[in-house]
Amino acid sequence: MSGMEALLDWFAAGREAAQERERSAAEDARLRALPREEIFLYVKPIDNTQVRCVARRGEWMSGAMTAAVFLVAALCIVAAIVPQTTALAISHRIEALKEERASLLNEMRRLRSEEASLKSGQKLNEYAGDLFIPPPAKALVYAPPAKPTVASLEAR
Amino acid sequence: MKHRQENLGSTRRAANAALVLAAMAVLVVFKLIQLQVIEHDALAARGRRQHLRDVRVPALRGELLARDSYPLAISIRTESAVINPQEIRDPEFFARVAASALGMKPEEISGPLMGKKQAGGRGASYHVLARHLTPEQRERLKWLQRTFPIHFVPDARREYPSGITGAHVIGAIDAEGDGNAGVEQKLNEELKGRDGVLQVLAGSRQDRYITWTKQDSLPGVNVTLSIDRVIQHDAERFLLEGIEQSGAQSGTVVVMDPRNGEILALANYPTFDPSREKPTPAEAAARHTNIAVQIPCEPGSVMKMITVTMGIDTGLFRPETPVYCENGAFPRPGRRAIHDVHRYGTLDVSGVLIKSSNIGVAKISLAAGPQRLYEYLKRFGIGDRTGIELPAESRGILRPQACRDNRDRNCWTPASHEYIAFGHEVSATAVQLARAVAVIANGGLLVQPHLVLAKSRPTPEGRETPLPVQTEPPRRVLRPETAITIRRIMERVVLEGTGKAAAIPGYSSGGKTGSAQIFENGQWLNRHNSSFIGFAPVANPRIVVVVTLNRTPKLGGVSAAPVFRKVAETALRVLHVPMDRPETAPEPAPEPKAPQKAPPLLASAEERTPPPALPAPPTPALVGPLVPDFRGRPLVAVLREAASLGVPVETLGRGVARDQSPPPGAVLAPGMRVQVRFAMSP
Repeated sequence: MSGMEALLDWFAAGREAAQERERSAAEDARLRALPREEIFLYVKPIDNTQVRCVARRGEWMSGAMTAAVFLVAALCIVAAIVPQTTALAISHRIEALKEERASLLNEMRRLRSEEASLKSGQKLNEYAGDLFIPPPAKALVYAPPAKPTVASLEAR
Repeated sequence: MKHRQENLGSTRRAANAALVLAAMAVLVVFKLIQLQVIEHDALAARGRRQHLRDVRVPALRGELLARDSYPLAISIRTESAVINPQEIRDPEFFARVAASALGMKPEEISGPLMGKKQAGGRGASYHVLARHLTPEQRERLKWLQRTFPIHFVPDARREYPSGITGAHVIGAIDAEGDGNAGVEQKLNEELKGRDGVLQVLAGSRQDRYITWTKQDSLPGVNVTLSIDRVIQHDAERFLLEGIEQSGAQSGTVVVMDPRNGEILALANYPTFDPSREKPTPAEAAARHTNIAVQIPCEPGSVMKMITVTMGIDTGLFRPETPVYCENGAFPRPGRRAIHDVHRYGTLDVSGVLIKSSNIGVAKISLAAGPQRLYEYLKRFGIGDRTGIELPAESRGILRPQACRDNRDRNCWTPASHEYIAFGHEVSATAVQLARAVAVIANGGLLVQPHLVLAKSRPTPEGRETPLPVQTEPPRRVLRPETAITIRRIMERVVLEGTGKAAAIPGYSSGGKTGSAQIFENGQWLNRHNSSFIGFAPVANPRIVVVVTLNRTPKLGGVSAAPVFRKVAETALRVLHVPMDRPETAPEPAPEPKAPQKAPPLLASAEERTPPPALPAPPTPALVGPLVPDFRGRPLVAVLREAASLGVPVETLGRGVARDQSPPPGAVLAPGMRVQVRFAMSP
């Protein structure tokens, strides 16, 4: 805790030094009369510009260590949480993609079914009637054998 | 003293209280032991039952694909809406609201809902509101879910994109998702896959808390069938036309590739719509009656093909061997006379088949004997199941030839082989007949008719893992030279015999008609089981077609042969088989005046007289088959290769082929044959 107090004192000292610098820059007033009073207030200027707040080295180190501990602890926590959080997010994403893939595959099955239905012989017959006849293959014409018997059992 | 007594009383009371407390503690301990030790397992199981439950996730049923990979049957994932009728406070109001969301009439929902709500008991807490929801219906019901306890459960819809085409091959499924006809039934175990299990951890109010997959579902196997959609559709169309024109009651068409036994089309009439969940009684009967594989009938004259094949293959007869056909009546002492439709005198063996003479084949069978006929029938697969992937296949009727004892009536009588020779006393299914014709068409191999080309199991990634398909390899049952000889005779059946109506424009074809008169209630009816079995083209058959029309008054050559012609023409065009005839209608061949003596096959090229003038091919052959190199091969190898290629050959001499004309690589002109000279020594 002393380290913490020293850190706070250190911050407070810095703030006071800044205020003092502002005060010294203001217009000087040595003697002022208080309003409606016969009393004069003597204001003695004090020059504390040379005053230095000397922090002890041990306290500074303690503050730095505390900050470092906080930082490391935070990093550890982040390091511990981030992978699991990332894994969770990724697994959610994977599950969503799997679902999407299953949905798309199902959609593909539906479309394949529809395509097959549209290209079925029944539909083609409805659309084109007897006009839809596959053309004959005319690439080759084989010669028909001339005789009914092409091999004789006597030849064996 | 008094103080002491008070102290004693207080101590006793404290002791009593302690005893009571101790007893209570003992009871608590015993109860704890009972709960935590003695009944631990039972209570833990009870707790698990209350909070953990398994939900079945149905696996997606496999697809049935045509040979061009278009789906014939395909499952699509859908969702169904279910409710617990006991949770619905006002069924009338719920029905009105839900009906508007589902596009139904309120009474369609309220009726069954009220019935289940009032009935109670088992099954009363589950009611399927609507099956196979559309996305719009689901969206509307999702809004209602905030008010009513509507649940969505996964479901699948089986679609048959080809409609009724191929219904008897594909089959159908019942309400439970199991196949009840066709391939859907035969391969049900493979098609349906394995259901997955989803485990649900529920709260005390049975609301879902967390779920996880206990067992992944294994999708069903995708099966590619050998069915060609166009051939199948046209086979059904032409079968229906044939039935209407012939006045038949039912019929079947089988188209098969003789080279490997792949069934290209299998059509039956009457047929059914596989997608209909509630079929009519007639449709239900048709669904379970696959005529082509389940109903054997007397083949009639088509059986003569086997008898004549037996005669030639055994060497007892040659195609030109004369057979006296008794001028139409063949009386035998003590037996019923065999008659022919027309009176014939002497016919050669080819003529017996071409003219379909009952007497002729009966004499061939008499000469060969019953044992040989039985052996050849078995070689052609008659009386044996083909093993096609369809349920309840019949093995047909072929009684054992040999009797076990004198009292055995389930065997051949002394006259059976005479009647079986022309297709009586024997029954075969259309698929069995197709297999028998394929033996002739493919050069003597018995192939297994089959429907399954490939199987694969889909992976979750959308890929497919191929699975092995086992098919029985072809078995040689006939010499190729015999097969090609019969093929040529059967071509003449179409050109000059009873099957003229089967001639296909542009293609050569061979076949045999059959008409088995129906004997019913002790009398012969004027009704026939008319059939035509055939193949095309003759040189290298690509298809075998069997047409059977049941209970028609017309004969096979008039009723079944035209159906063969139409189906075969479509199939050959679809399969891109080159034409081997002019596309004009074939001219009928002139009637042979008398049995002609066959030209000497062993004559030398110089001595060989030119064959009798055949009708010249009307169109010039563009290209003929290439002549293979027969040199260095023995006679049997040459004949086998020639038969398989459909190249006609003439053989000269014995031994090993030394020379051939035309030379290897030449184009064989129409009407020409390859002459091969054999010699014993080099």
